[in-house]
Amino acid sequence: MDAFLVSQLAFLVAVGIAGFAGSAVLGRLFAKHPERLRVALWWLLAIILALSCAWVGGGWPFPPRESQNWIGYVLLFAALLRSIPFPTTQLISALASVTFGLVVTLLPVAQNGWNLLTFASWFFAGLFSFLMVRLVLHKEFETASVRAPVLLAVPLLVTAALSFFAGSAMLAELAVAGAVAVVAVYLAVSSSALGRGFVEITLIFHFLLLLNCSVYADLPPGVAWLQWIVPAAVVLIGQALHRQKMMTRRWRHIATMAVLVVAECGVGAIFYWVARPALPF
Amino acid sequence: METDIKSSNNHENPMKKSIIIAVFLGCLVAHSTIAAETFQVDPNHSFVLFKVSHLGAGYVYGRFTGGVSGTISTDPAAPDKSAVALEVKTDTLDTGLAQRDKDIKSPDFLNAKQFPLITFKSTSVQKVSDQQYAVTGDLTFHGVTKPVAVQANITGEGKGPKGEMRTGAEVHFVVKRSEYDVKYGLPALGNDVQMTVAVEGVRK
Repeated sequence: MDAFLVSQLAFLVAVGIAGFAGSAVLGRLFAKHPERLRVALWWLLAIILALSCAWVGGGWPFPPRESQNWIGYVLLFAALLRSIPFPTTQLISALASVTFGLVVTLLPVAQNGWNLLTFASWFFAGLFSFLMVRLVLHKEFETASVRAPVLLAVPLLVTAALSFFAGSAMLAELAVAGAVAVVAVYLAVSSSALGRGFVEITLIFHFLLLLNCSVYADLPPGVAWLQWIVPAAVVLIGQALHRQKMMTRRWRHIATMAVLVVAECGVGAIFYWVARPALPF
Repeated sequence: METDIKSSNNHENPMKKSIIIAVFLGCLVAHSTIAAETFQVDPNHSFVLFKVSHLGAGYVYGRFTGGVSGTISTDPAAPDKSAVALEVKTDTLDTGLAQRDKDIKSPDFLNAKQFPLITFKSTSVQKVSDQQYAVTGDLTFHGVTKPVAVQANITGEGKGPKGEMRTGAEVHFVVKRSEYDVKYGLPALGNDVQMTVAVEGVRK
């Protein structure tokens, strides 16, 4: 058991070091080319997360056989599309990446007895949910702020706990690795250099984790959906309060992070109430 | 006249021989048809049990409850023509702890929603003795198909309450889960999964 735990911890430390050191090196290399730096950082994050999937899953099968084997490929695909330097391709790349992710995640279970209506419901509900959250969070990441990594990393950590108790320690481990990678990159490079592509890759990763966990493990789909929309809902509430002059921008940011933590605890409580999980070992 | 009779006898003999041979062959075919038997696996009296090392300290035991089905065709006259086809529903896994069952059925291990069946289809059956058969076949588990060779022991024969003939067989073998791309938790959770498959077949 000790060897197992040590190897898991070593993996998370390696992810953190790779994120931090990689971002620092890229930051120096492309110090005078901010746009190139952004693209390089998107690729760095996509590669770290894809390698994490391969390590946790015990290999890099090609062609992928299981839905979670596709996560790495979808992230690299998203990084590739985001690297194309045309502003109009942003939404198209998001649509293409998430469509690809949805199809490869849902298809294996659909082949085992889902009818077309069930597949279509999951597909369009997933696509709509992703695009709504992406729209809200993209705007939030236009300026540099510490709340950016918080909005991405805290939900990933809570998703890790949900996945673990829903029956998939592997997806839980991936979610923790994602949170570590996001924080490490932010610590090494100021957030304004990261841009929206960074958010998109992290969101696709988080989205696919939740989707896999609700389809293939036992995370209730309603809880997964709540967990997915929490960061966007918190941001929208903060914006509404700000518009009504109820608090300053600074206090709004602090309140956003505090409410996020409370809301995530709320999702955890709902999950506990719905699933009544127990320790498997 | 004698010559005619002789020639007539000579002419009849091959025909008689042909008829006798045909009847004999027919009897043989009929006999072998009767001798070939097909057994339907009884899910209520068939078991797939497993144990796997847990943290190097002990074992986790489990079974697939009521999820075994299939057919076994035997031909005592030609044992090599016998065939075995079995299916196990992965969703019927039971280790006695619901949360652990969830864990094993998840994408970490069995991925039961993507791979709802474990199947075995024999490719060759050799009679070793009256009570033992060497069975080789393709085991498909977790979407990966690999050949396995097992020794099947006949456990007995008996009549059921409706007069139906029942035969039992038992097999023990080891599956290395990493060979079937089930690698999560290695080596804390063992690589060798020790399997026992015990089936009771009802003659059709």
